[in-house]
Amino acid sequence: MQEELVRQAQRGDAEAFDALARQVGDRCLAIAVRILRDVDLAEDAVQAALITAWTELRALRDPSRFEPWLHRILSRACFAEARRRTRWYEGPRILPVEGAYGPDEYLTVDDRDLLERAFRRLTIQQRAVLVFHHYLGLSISEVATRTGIPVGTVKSRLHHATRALRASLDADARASAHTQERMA
Amino acid sequence: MTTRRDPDRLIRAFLLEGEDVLTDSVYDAVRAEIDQTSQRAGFGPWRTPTMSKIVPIGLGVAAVVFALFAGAQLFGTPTGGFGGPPDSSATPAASASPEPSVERSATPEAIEPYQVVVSEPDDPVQVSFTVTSPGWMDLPGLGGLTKNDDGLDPPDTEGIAVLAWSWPAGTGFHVYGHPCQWSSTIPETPATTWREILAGFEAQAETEILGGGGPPPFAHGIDGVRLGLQVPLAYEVPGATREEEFSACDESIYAFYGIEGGTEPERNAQGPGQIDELWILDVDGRTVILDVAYGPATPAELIDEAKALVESATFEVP
Repeated sequence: MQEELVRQAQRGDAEAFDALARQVGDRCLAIAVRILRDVDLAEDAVQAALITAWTELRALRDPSRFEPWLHRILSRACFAEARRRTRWYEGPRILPVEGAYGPDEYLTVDDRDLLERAFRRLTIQQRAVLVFHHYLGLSISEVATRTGIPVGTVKSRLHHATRALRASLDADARASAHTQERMA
Repeated sequence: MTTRRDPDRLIRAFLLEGEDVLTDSVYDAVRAEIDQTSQRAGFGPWRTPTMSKIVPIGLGVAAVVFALFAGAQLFGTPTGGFGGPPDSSATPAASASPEPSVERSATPEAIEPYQVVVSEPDDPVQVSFTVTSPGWMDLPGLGGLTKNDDGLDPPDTEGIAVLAWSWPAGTGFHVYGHPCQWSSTIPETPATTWREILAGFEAQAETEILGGGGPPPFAHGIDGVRLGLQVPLAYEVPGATREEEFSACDESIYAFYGIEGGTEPERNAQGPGQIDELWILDVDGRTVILDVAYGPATPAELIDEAKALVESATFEVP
């Protein structure tokens, strides 16, 4: 079904592209929000990505690869939004937690705040790799395809990003332990 | 005593949280934009993603039926008028009322020469070719014809495409300093004449100009130049996709030139070893580029056919 919509859209059918966009839009927003940490910026990135996808659609050779191809465009759009908007550099804004998954009880409020701050310190490229790997559950090679960077670079970014997040969690755990020891 | 928790699980849990519904206003904005925006046509030469391997066969059958009919209706029996160099002042019969692309797609087995307008109706220059050999297919929306589209990219393809693009007078061309690092090597001053465009290609890193600098072989006094470009075979990675082969390049794109004001390249390479033979022409102040694109595996006789098509070109300024 999606492949047929892609083929129709490649022939210039705007209705088909609209239907296609509605099939993939939610997932695109979810990815962009997690990379950019800002709903407004994410919506702008998704809008830009979908328009780019429309204009470039004839270059897509395999209609069955539409979504991975779109995700690559989306990741570029996220990078562009991050570069363009200075407000991205403003102070942390905690994301609303309502969504399909809702808050995870495994995460405490402190965890969430800690990870949010640590995540914002990562480069936008590191965030993209983390989101594609941990949120979408993609393999390293598939992350490379969807972000348009070599596999080795994906591994490197994933390693550094994960290490940074773990380090902030470990630092907090050590601080908590130290506090408890002093109070004991 | 504190219990150490799994940091990877914490990271995954953190990433699962957040918005995941795109609002209707975004879909509406996209729809409004695409209704005003044309799809780009200048990306792939012989690859036509909208056409499966089955569709061209169907088109071929339809075209045989059409050509048997239209050949008599539009052009009649040839009377020797296709033998000499085409006259640029002649108005192509088909240009007065361009036929739908499907109907002017291919040729019958027993071919009679026919003229086909490959430009879109609103292009600054209407370019026509005279087709004298069977098997040429239209590239809808791309402004050209193709033959032996085997679904492969250079250096593997044995197919070929003949493209005809035109731009309004005064259009500036960015002939990139380096096709792989195109986004950071945009010249400060765009080229607006064929001589300036040629100078850009001569200065372009990695670009090997094949038999360049000669005048275009048109008998009707159109000014311009003919040259060939080739993408280095060093980019070839067996079994890799185009994006993987050009992954070291800006946005995984290897691009020869762009248009002033555009954010994306105008002409991208489809694969290592790709050869583009260009006829860069000045047609009444408008720039026309005729581009014969093929790979090192394309048979010589097919290249000759394509060049014959180019040399049959006629131009009409609406």
